[in-house]
Amino acid sequence: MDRDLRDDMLKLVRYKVLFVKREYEQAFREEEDLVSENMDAAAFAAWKVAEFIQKLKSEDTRVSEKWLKYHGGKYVKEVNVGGVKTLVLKEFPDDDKKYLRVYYEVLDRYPRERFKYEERQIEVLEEIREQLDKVPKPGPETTNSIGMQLVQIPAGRFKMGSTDADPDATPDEKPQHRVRITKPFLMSLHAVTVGQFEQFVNETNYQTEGEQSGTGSTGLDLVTGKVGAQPQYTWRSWLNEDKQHPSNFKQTNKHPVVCVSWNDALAFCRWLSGKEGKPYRLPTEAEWEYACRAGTTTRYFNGDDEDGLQEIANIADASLQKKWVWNTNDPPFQKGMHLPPYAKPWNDGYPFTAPVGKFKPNAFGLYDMVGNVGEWCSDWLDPDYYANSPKRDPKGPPTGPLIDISDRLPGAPPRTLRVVRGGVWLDPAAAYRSADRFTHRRHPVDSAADIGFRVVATVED
Amino acid sequence: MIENKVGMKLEEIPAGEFMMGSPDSDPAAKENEKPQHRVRITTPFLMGIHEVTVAQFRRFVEESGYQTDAEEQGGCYGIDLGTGLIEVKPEYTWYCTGAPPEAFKQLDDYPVACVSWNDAQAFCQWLSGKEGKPYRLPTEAEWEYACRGGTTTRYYSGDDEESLKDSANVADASLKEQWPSIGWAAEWNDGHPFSSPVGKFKPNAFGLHDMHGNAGEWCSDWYDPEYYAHSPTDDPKGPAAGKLTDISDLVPGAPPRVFRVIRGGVWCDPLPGCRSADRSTQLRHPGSSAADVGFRVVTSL
Repeated sequence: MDRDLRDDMLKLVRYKVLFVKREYEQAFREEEDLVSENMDAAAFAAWKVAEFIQKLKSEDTRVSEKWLKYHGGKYVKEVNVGGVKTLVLKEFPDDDKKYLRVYYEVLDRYPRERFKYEERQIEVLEEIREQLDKVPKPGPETTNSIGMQLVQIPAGRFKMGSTDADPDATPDEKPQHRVRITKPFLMSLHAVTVGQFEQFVNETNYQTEGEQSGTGSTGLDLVTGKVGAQPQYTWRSWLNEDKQHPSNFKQTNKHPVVCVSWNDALAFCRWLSGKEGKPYRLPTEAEWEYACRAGTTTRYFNGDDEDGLQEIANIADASLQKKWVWNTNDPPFQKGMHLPPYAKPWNDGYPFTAPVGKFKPNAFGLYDMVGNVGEWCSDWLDPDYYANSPKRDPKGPPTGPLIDISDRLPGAPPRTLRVVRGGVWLDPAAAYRSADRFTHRRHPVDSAADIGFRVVATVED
Repeated sequence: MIENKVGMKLEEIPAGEFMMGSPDSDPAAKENEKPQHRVRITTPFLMGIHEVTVAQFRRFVEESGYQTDAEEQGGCYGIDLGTGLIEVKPEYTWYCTGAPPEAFKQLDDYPVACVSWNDAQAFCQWLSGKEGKPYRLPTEAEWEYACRGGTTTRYYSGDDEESLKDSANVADASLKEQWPSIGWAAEWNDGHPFSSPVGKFKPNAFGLHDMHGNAGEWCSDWYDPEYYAHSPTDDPKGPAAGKLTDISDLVPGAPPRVFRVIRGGVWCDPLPGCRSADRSTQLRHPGSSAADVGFRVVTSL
């Protein structure tokens, strides 16, 4: 939820609480016991806001269930009142049912009052509505000829990057700057799956760059615990099992495809463009962050708190640590150490990649935007780009600057890199921030077991 | 003959055997065409009877948002009739391949040119999606087999250069008129100084047009001048990797590079470059493109 919007909403609610309390105290002077003990005006206000959101939902088809969960809906929850599902505001932890029961009782006794109060409340509610209208809402979802689901991402504005207030923000995420996405576009709900990529390979006889070069992709060896490129690591299989301690990992057709280079992703897009008769492409970095945030300004698309990641993302957690052991005497870890050291204590049941769509979507209905696999974007990576990028539809610099990667590959010369967004199944928490851009920068021919892509397409007029 | 979803006509090329390359007895043959050797094409395939046209390529660009290497990297090799020079200029692209633009504006039924090997691959990926089956460039062996159409002569029309008059858009008087500084040209005038619309000349025995002349055609193979000495008999696909090739005789001072094969001669080459066996009239890096090089596609039956 947008922090400004949240503040505004709370302000409005507080105002309404005062208003309601004053009015009710006057109206129900004789019923003082009822008002002071049971008729909590705050709960009444909460209920009214919830009712409004419910109304908004029924009137405005753009307001999807997913959107409601994050905006407006984030402040309400569904409760069962006498068999009827009703939304109530979360801000008030008391027993909502009690308040609602009392509210109905009051209205039964004083039906004339009801009209008066609701009329006065319209103004307040309109203000809330105005605020909610500013939050971008997703358009309809569609399914294309290969069964790929896409959602219409609306045009809109957002603040791209991070401010100094985020202690995890790196210099390349600054300055935070306003960006306008001028045209709506379709984005796939999920990362491209193994099944979809297989169809592409079958219909083109395509060989990925890792397969062509014979060097393979970067994968994980569970026998040694080492991460590295092996010729046998490809999009079909990228894990060397430890037969003594099988991981039982199976890459199914529903898993996101990995071990594909930026060039491989583009080849897939051209194939899909031919099939669909319209351009499919990788998102720009700006489109990606806009779609990931989906109206939020928090560090993660579901809040500022790292623990919230448990719900929305397949990240490095106890499930991974259990399976991944450093089994050699080589540095940098001690033999027998469970990796990665920063893994979160919870266990989501997915040590490596998870089938797509196993975690909660964002407000636009997009799944796995963070975690699971990193996602190629179309832009060249320039750490200084935000200082001078265009405000409208930035597409990245025309060519990539040479970037030092010796921190990751000691001794490697500087290279030009493409942007990879969204963090992967083995990252520390900071990588899952909506603004993170540097954790998985890669050269366009590189491919690895943690990087895939999702596609975007134009919206037909 | 079949016609696919983008209106491309393809002819079935049967499986068969042929002698690939040139015999020592041919004085026009270059070393890279030897030894002449037996090759078997074990699987029949479909081949476009025309080079991919500008209209077909435009549809690909419109439906995919694709940008060619020439557009991204500052142009392709083209001719400026004003200066007579062949050079890379940003304004030379697949929709206008030279200067002045009036002379080189590419109409719908012209073979697309100023496309790199990479661009041709991208087109094939798009077309594979549309058709739901693999489209690709022919291998060098498939190309020569299809070009010969059972003939063993220098050209599929015979051994004489004169025989090209009806079967190929080559460098002739019409080109010399427009580009006087060209050092070679046939004496006849076919009315097409530069590239011509596809299918204006007589086809070969398989029904394929413009296999000689008009636009040169990318093949899928890496170029290796010594490949014939050790290539397999069945369905050769070219060497596994490109071989660094010295081109300093063509481009003085240029470092060795890896090349993909281009076949069939072009509208501005000396006539021997149109021979069925010629392999090196043009040598290009897969990212390089020129006003006289396009491609045709093949697919399975």
